[in-house]
Amino acid sequence: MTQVKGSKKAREQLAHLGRDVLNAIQKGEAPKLKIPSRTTSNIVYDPKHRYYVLGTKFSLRTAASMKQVKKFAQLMCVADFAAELIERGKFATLREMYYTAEGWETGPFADQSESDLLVEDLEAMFGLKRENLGLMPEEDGAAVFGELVVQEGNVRIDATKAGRAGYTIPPTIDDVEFVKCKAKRVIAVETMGMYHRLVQEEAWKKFDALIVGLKGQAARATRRFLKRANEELGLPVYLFTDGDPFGFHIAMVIISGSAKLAYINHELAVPNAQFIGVTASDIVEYNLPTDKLRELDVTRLKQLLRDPRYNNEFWQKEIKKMLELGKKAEQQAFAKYGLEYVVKEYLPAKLGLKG
Amino acid sequence: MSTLADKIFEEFREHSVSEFFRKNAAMLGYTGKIRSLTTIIHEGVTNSIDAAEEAGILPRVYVAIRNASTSPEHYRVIIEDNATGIPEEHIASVFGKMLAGTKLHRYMQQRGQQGIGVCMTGDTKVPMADGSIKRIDEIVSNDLRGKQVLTLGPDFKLRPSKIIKCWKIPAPQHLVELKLLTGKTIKLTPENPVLVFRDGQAEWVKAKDIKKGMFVGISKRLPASSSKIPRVLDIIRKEGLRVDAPETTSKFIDILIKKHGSLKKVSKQIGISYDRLRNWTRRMPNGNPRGRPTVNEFQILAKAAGENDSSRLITRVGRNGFYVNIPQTVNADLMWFVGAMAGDGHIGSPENKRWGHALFFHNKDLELLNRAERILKNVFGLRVKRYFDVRRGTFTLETSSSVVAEILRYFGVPAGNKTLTLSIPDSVSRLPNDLLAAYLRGFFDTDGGLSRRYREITFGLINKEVVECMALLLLRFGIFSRFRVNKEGHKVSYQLVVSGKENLVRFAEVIGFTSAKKQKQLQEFIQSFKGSSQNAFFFPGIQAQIRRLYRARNIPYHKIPSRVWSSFYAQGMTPGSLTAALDVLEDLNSWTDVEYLKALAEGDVAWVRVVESKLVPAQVEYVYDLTVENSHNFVANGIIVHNSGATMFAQMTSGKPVKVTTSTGSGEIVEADVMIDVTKNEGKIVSIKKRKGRWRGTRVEFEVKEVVYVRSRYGPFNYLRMTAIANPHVYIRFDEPDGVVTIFENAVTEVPKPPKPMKPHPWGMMADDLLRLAKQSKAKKITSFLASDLARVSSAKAKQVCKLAGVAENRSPGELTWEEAERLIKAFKQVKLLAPPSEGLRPIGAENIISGMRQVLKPEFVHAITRPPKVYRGGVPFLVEVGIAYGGEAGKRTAEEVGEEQGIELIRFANRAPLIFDQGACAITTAMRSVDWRRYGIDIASSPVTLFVNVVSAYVPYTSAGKQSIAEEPEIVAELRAAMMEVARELRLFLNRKIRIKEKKERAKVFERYLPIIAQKAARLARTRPPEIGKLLRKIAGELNDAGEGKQES
Repeated sequence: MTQVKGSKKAREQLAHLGRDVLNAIQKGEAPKLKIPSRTTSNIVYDPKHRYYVLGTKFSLRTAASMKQVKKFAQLMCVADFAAELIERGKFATLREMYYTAEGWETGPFADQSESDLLVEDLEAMFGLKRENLGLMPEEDGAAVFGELVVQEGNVRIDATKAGRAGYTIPPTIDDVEFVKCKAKRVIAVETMGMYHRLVQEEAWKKFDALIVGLKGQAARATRRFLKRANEELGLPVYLFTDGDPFGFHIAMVIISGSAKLAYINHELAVPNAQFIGVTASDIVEYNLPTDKLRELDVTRLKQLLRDPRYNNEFWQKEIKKMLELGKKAEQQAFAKYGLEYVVKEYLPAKLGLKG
Repeated sequence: MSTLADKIFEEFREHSVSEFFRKNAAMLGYTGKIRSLTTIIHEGVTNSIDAAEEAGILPRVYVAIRNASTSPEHYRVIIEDNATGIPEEHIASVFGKMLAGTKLHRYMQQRGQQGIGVCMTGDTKVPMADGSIKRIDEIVSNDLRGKQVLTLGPDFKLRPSKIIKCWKIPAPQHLVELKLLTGKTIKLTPENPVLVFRDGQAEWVKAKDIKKGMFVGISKRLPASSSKIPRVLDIIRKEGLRVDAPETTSKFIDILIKKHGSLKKVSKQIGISYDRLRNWTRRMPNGNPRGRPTVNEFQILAKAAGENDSSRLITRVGRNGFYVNIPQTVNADLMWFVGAMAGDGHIGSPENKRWGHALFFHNKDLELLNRAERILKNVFGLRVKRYFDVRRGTFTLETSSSVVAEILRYFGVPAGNKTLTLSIPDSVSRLPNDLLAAYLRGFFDTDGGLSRRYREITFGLINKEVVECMALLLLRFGIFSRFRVNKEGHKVSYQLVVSGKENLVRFAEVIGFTSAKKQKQLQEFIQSFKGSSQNAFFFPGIQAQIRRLYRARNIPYHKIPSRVWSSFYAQGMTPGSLTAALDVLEDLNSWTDVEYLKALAEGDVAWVRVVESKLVPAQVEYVYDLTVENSHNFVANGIIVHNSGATMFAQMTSGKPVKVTTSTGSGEIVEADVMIDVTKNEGKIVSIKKRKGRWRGTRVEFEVKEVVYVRSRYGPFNYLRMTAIANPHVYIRFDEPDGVVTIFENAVTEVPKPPKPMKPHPWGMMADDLLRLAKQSKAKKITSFLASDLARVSSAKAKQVCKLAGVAENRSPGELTWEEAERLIKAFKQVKLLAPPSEGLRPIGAENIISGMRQVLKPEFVHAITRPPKVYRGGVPFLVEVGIAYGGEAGKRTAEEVGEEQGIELIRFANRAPLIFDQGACAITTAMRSVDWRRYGIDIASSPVTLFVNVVSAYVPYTSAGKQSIAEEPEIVAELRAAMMEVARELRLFLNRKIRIKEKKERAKVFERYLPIIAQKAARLARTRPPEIGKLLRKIAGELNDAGEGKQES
């Protein structure tokens, strides 16, 4: 039985919650819960931390309200379920919890979004990730290749010896211990195509890097891995994405966190990560093969311009430039100059390792 | 006690059976078999209650309906009460009791002012059984009761049936005009039932409910006939008519002289002057006698001479020296000539009397000319001139004879311009068929034509009456014709069209043409029809029934004749294909349905599509109706209509006697079997038995047929339920055919005070009401009758009205005629009268309504109000009572069995009598619909609400004689609406309370469920024991009691 870091704390918080409720009941008062509000009006960008955080608004859930008492009871059931998971050192997916609820005294949920929402309520209340509550996201994280040795329970894994596909970041990444790391930096790439290119070209060796394949928008586990790599191992993180609004945003979510998970962005955001993706300037400079911007791209770019996370000189310039060009380019476009070009020319230039 | 009973039944006797039927004509339209049964129960129960109330007895009524046989429409009905019983001598009038209608008639005239109506306009033509065709107003004004009209039997055959009663009734404002595909139109009052073919069945439908595209029954042949051949002598005016038979005359005188001695003695003996007798025997120089006897004198002479059948000897008669031969009896030649003259003849103007009438016959066709000439010469012995009329381009026959002119006039061919004066009188239509055929041939020879293009015979005239009559005459031979109106500018002419193979064949066989050319052409038409006959008639939609029969009997496909097959895909079946279809069904176990269809196929009824059905302003003052024995329908303008009286009670009782058990409480119980004497419309005791026993009341037991028992809104159950609600002092026990027994206990034990008898007010009266009162009046003069027997009429007013109406005032009221009564009623509307008094209004009372509704509906909530009297139409007092019940058995519960919708149930009453039918047309319904029930928390479609409405007035303005709906007088609707809203407000208060309580309960439930979970989970999280939550639960529930919802947002 392993214990996730922070799960002890989580269990304590759950017990605290139970005590609060009991106290109220024993006083003959209706128990009340303060739950941080997660409506858009309560999500604020924190420029100091450079990520989104929740504002100060709360909604009050009281057992004295006929409309809320059922939700209250359900929340207590979720909390109880989480406590049990923590005690038993097990993990359950959200969907598993949804099905488990069939047997709860409060009766089944209408659909999974209802139960998911309650988990988010707990996360927000405690400022804890769901992983701490014994609940895990369904999807696996990204692939990692490089000189990193991790301890997963009884198993020790060397990320250079986990096959060509690399070490797969599990949903329960917080459970994993970093044993040894020779790498000096992390290079996360958007597509698995580029990941395999870098692995083939032995870029990990060349740049002393851990190559991470994001597989598009980064999963929570991946973001958590990057955060730990950055903070625990002290490795700088570089994000290499496509030169289009979606590529930009994949990088930005890793850097500054997402609005939806604002209440745990302090656990996920990697504000120090650095964008080394294809920019509008690169398109011009490297004379890359391009696609025309679609209508969707243009609207998205315009949205990004207004987004506080992009509110700096670099991004404003590059986005405006891309809008001017009306063109975008993928990271694999460098293949125009040969398969090795990316490793030989582009990345060294971006990483400042050249010359 | 027995004197009171006597008194009551004296009153009952006043109501004749027919009067009941007249009053309830529309209700008894018997378009619905359900309705019939309800009506019967209604009449019986109302009388029982009234009789008991009047004697101060708390009414207990027992009603039972049982199946009388395996036939589904045959029931035994028992109605028993605990009232005063019927004195023995009045038992026969039990029918009167059964049918007299509510006793309220006596106190409160309930007749609406809008006229009753199951009737048609005066110009409607009714074919009589003797072949004559009469306007209905003619039948009514001549009171031809006892004469026979044609009526449709259950076998779909027309047969003669007696007229029992004639009706003349003020016309309603609007009439329904039905226009048929055949061109026929008829105007009827909206309530008048008409035979309609629907869903493979014939049924009676009210005229107002007949829509375009429906099929109505018309007679396709008229089995009228007469064997009476008139004698020519009877036709001719006898005045101045002399018999030209000198030899016979002389012979008779000789015989008489021999017998009596001398001519003088003969003169004395037979009372004819000597000179006249002598002149008859003497000759003038030219050989003619010096004088001739009149017909009368000749007959006296012949009789005296021992010759009994003298008219046989009269073969030549005349006036003013002109004599013509006459045949003994009307014969075919004569009738052909009449027909031909009706078409192309002309009789000199009547001023030219002295020389007799000149007769002309114009035609191009030599065959016709020859025949006419032959008849004039050989039959009448007239000299005939024939010349060619250059101007007309036709030949003309000219002769002169006043006797022949007279014969022609008798048969409807007048002198002078006959375009509009020509008619087809009874003298023609009452002829035997062969003579009629000759007449028609003559008429068609001259005015008929053949259209090669359409293969039809046409017959055109400007005179509509003649064309209409002609159509009916042709029907006697089964020749069906269509009616067509031709308009050329201002000129309107009417045309009959005979088409279709069968009709043409019949025409050729029975009537035909004299002209060989025309006859040949007709034959060619007939032969040009290929294959099976084209038939104008068919039975729409009947094929479904045939298919069902085939399926039920597993008739293999190959056995189905092709014409039947093909008709499956058509709109209907012809009589031919229907017969063929039925021939396949040899199996006669299924006697009834096959037999029904067979009767249909072979019957006298054809079904014709209605092309237009609209309401038209009546534009006539009166409408007319006939009551016909047995089947109660007759043919009017060719369409089969139901007469007002509908199914007579006698018919419904299936001919079996009514068993009456009654006792006045004297210790003797009388059991009698009573039958109805149809001819007199009176009850007749068949057998009577007496036994000892202490019991008081009346039990009537009888069988009814062709009615249907269902437990629907319209059935007896709901009627009794409504009666129980409106009469909480009445105990009712009801046994249904399936054995279910329902008891409506009385909720109160106080017998309502009998209403004060009120004199009728002229505003609410109609002519026949006045006449009836006049006949019963003890006053000696009409003025004193009016002043003493009517409300609000002073002697001065009575005199003024008599003067206005032109009625001689000093006569006995019994002498008042119908016309005078009508004029009086009119005159009453022209003078100022005080409005009727309102103290006669007899409400049920809010308390009683509440008791009644509570007793029957067992609701959660009930409220009722009686509003103060108001007036409508500027002075007629009325008041409104409304009750509302919620929950329990309120709402449309009774309808559950037949799958009707749930929701708000409206029960309507007028003077506490339930109104069951015609709900849609009622002011009460209108008022209910005008209320926004949602505002009161009531959902019309689902709330278990019963709304009780009683309209009380001496003059309830019913929309029709059925008295089933109240006219939408604005004041009444407004008052009803206000009253409904008043009770609805009370219900809303109740409902709001109810909702609050319910919500509180629901909340408590929610907390009871979830709070323990919260406590238990919290305890587990905190790793302690679950706490006591009772205190919290009580607190939260208590909080909710006062403050409702807790806070949600901070």
